[in-house]
Amino acid sequence: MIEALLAGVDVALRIDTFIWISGGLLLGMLMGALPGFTTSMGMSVLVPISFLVGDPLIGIPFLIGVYKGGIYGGSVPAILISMPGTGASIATVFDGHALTKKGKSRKALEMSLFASAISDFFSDVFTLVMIIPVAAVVLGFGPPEIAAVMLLSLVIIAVTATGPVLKGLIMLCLGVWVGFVGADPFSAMARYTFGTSELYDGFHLIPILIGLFALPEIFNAVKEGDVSGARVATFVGERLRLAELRRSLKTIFRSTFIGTGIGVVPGLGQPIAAMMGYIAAKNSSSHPETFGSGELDGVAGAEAANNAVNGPTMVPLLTLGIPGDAVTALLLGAFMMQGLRPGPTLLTSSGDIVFGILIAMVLANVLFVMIGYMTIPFFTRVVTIKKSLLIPVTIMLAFSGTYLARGNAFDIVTLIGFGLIGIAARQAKFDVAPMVMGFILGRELEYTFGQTLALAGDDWIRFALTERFGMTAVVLATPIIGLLLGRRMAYFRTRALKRDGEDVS
Amino acid sequence: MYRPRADVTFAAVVLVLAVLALIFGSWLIAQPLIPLGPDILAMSPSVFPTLVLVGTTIVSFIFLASQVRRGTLWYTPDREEDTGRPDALYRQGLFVVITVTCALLLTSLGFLSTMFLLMASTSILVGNRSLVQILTLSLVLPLCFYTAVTHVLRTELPEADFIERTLAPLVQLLPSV
Amino acid sequence: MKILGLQVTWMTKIGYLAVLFALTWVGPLVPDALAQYPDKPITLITPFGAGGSSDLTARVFTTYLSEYLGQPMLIKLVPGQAGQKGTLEATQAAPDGYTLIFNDNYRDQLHQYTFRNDYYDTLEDLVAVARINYGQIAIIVRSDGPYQTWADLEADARVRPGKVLLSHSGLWAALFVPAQQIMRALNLRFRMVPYRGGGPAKAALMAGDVAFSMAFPATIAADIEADAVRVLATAGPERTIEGVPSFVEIGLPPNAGYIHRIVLAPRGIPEDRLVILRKAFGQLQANEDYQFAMRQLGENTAYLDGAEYEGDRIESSLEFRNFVKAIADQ
Repeated sequence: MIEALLAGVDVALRIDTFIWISGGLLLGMLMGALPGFTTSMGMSVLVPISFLVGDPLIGIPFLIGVYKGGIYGGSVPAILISMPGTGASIATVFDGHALTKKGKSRKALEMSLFASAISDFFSDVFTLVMIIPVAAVVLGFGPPEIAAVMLLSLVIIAVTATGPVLKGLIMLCLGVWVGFVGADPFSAMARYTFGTSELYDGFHLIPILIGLFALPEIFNAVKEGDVSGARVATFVGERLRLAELRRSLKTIFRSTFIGTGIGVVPGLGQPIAAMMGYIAAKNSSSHPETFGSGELDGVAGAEAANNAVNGPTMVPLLTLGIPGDAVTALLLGAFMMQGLRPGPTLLTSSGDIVFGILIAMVLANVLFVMIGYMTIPFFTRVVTIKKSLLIPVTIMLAFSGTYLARGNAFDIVTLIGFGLIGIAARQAKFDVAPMVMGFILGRELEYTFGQTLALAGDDWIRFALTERFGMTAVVLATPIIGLLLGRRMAYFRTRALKRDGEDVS
Repeated sequence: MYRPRADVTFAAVVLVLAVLALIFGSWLIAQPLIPLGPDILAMSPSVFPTLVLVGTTIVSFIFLASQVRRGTLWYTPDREEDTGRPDALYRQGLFVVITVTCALLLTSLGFLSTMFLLMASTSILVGNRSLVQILTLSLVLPLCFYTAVTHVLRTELPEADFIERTLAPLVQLLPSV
Repeated sequence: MKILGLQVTWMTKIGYLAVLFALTWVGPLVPDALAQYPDKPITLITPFGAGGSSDLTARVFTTYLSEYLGQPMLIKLVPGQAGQKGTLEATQAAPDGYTLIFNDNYRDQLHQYTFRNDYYDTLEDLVAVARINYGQIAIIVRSDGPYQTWADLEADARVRPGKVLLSHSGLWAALFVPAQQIMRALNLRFRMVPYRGGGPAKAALMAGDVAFSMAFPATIAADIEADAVRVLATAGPERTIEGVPSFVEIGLPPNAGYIHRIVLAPRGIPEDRLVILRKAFGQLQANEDYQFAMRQLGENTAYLDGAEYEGDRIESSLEFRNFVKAIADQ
């Protein structure tokens, strides 16, 4: 295996590899910054190009560069115009956009970049070194464990949302219920569709994201109807200072750990990682109540976590030939087109190529920072445009992004519908984040829960206690963790309110 | 005239919807055509929704009850709320109407026309008064976007046939990716 | 301000905008110019889970097909709802030849009897462009597991009815139907655990969560080579692997366990475009690299032109209807 590793190093360190990875990163960032144009769409467009390159060692890192760039790129509209382009950037909106309003958009973008690159680097190194043990662990995570972890995540999200826990729970349940609309995952029976074919497909994530996060901002601007030519922020602010980065390093490493862990569990994905990273950052801080109004740590926590996911996600693909999501499925296709067959034999037959790819991934992170840094001034100009010009552009992006995501006209109706819900929720001071996460997680939770029931059969008690003790442990720990977190959040909230001299409600 | 607080209204609406969904569950959820035992079908389509709806009902009820207990049901304008310019409500209503219309008409009118209408009206609603700026923005930007998406990214956007065919040869002239 | 010497008020500005806007309505009145088909990429909706044999097959043939069409064929993965989500999208797409669907015979010919569907009828709304190939399913277990032969598995299932776990790729899908056929023909009872596609179903087997599963050659080729998986039986009247019984030998009908992979188009597609598509698929078969790639996958390339396959569709659908009816009447 060591020979393969060394051979991989040799093959990876070629100048054309670097050029192609850089190109991929740049394209990925630009595509990720376009809301609604999901990374997997972008990659499908580019797969033929990667194939034309001919050499798997260039073509595949190119695609991986697109993937990494895309995750970071999604944070750009999230920070600048409060429009998360993908589920992975939801948690970035909270503090990212607040920082923009405070005139610190450049700092926010740079923090996002550095956090993403650092965590990606370490997560890739981890994958490279631990690929075999991780493969074993991945197999050990079956539906019962995944369901338990999802339940725990949902509880954590509800409990740590801004505002009273009850409001968070209401939004969470509402989000989960919205996920039920459509065909049920087991027997494909229509639920809450009122007989329409559009609803049979269910709601799609992108219009919900854009509707809940971006439209209320636009609506507010309309409310103000300002003729004086206000801007979102009058200046982009100074660059990120090294001291600030150093202060957030602990958060970044914590999020790397969280993201890598979540990446190992199949089926969880970036949105959950980002959310958990954010919540962990908020919870470990000495002043959680400032999160949401412009904490750099919040951006770091979210962005580090969502990039750390993609290292371990490659493991089932490389070792078992099983792709975990649409992106790894694309990579699988790309592998096959190059003549590689992912599966148990890949490591032994083409080990040098596999390691070459992994090493290229690690090195890509260095290029990531350089290229990203150069694009930031270009992006930050956006917020200095007059609001009266920026807002119409935002709404065009909202509509176009929604349509781009699926090519489905009904999504636009969804967009407006959830825009109205987002506006109402903002008025009523309900946090929309639990609703979105409920939507994302609810469907998966139902499916894994059903799978668990099928696996357990009649004697589920024995099943829970002997075969799947991991699941049982997590399920039992969930209410305890929820209570502890909830109490801690409530303490900080009342402390902050008392400090501001407000009535504790 | 008492007006309930915004969050009370929101929670009340959620509660009512949840209860209705529970009551009408069997009408709203289809049942499998062919009866399959638990060996075959992992979970019936109504199990999870019922679970979640019951949870929603309970939680929203508790929330409303706690608001009643605290006496914070009604809206008290003790805090100065910025409502912007006086015709804010009128503008917001117009905005909603226009966006809904554009949403419904996107596929029939096509991308460029709808975006033109949407961006132009939004520009006016947020206070832009320069005709030049509005026209340039609402015509040029969607055009660039359309070109970038259909040519570079090779993804489709809904467009009226006439416009699409007129633009296609022009777009092909651009350097190919 | 003044435009063209006229004092322009607010109303006039809105008037100008309205006029410009109205001009876009002229468009539809202009006759449609004839375009060369295909002049932009074609979308192939693939309503399958990532990494399963159908997904992999699609990726292979779309790569080589673009040479004969002059435009790439891009795969759009739309998994979910036993393939109905993707099929729905295809039937609702404009029948202009730019949206096709890659489906299998179960979804095309069986699902109308098992899923209530007011939105489309596959036989009516879709027309076959080509049958890419067929696959014969295999029953697989882990090589380090307790079952050495099919007889072992069958015996265990009889002793513990309802307790032997089987992973499948979705209700009434390619792994599910053969399992049902086995249960009916041999009077056995397994417990079926759903997964999102052939890939995850195999993963569940490898993880030891279930006792056995089913798979097509493409999904397990690498695993057989690595000796991680053992095949207990294969579909069809004859043996395809030495020493491994065929389905007919273990008591099943001869066409049980076959998947036919079909490319379909919405039925309103213009006749000339359908001809172009069918021709391209026909030409594809002569491509050496395509043949080689499919062999690498472990799949055959038993191509059948769409027009010929149409008859098979109807016949097969009737057979499935009887099968489902028999189950429902139990």
